Amino acid sequence: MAKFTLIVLFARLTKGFGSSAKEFRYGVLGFGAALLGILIPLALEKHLSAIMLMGLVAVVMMFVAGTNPKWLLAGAGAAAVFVVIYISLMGYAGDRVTAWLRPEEDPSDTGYQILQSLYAIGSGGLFGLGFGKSRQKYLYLPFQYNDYIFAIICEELGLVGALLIVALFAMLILRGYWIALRAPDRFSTVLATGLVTLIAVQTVLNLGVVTNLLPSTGIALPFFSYGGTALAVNLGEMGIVLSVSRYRNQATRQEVLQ
Amino acid sequence: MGGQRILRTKENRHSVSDRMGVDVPFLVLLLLLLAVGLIMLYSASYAQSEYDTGYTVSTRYLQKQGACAVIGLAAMILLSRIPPDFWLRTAWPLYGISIALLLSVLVFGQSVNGAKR
Repeated sequence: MAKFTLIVLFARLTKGFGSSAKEFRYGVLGFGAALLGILIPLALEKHLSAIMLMGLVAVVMMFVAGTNPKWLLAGAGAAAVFVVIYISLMGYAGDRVTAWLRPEEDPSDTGYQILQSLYAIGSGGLFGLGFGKSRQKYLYLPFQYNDYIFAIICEELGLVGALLIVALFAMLILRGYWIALRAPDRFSTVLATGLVTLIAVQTVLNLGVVTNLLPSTGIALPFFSYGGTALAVNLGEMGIVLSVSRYRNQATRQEVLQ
Repeated sequence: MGGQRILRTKENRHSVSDRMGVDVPFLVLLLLLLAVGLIMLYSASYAQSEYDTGYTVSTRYLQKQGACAVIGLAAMILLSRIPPDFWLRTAWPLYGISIALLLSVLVFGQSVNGAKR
């Protein structure tokens, strides 16, 4: 819920700032303060995945809102440096990185999940083993219905099927941005952009983790992974995107009638 | 756009988009993803489900997900009728509430195994 309110607030601020968002004072400090308001409690509660997610979404929204890009790049650079330092110092996160880069080293514990995931994806071949014939889901791959569901998709539907699914996501996201760009006012644009980006980032991150391009993040695949509240919330958020499209259509119609 | 003559505009064409009000392609894509998601979830989870229930129920995870999907769809339909203006006005209050909630979790700190959203 916090993610949602942050997005809405950012959009609200965008309207308030107008073109002065270019200035550091508003574009960076203003949004930054609002962002920290949510991030600090999250950090205290150690919700790493949520923090990462909101950070990325916030940056995108700030960009659309008009913050000077050079600040965003600088911020991203600083964050990257910070992350590298953090990982090399902290043990727990370091484990994840090892599992990411060299899973073979500990196949029965930390590397287990990602190795199983890769096995699943590999055995899918081009057309998959066929619907329902996954082997990994028989208690080999943990969380097969949750974060790693894409591995099962690859195993059952193969490269072709998996690419189709990815294409579906891509089309949804692109269409979502299309709706956002055609919104009648800036507030709606930023709002819709933020919501769509939430989905986009989750999807990209999840796919990255499952294929081991990224270390484990704990982010689920929207609309697929098991997780009731997330599903309901995501659908609701998409409803808001739809509302933006609806009221855009109305605005257009009124123009036409005049 | 605009003008004095009766143009064959989108308005006159009574397209599906016009009747529904919302953006149809987006909706269709969304429903497709949802449908495929549920199917794949069943496929991926029935083994685990049977294992967890002593081999009686295969749809345990599907059921829960399906129920949430229904709730979500209802929310989606509802929210799609709300003018974005509403969010404009409720932005600050919502923000305040969520911060309050986040902080209250810190204070009362129950360790829930999973997400606090």
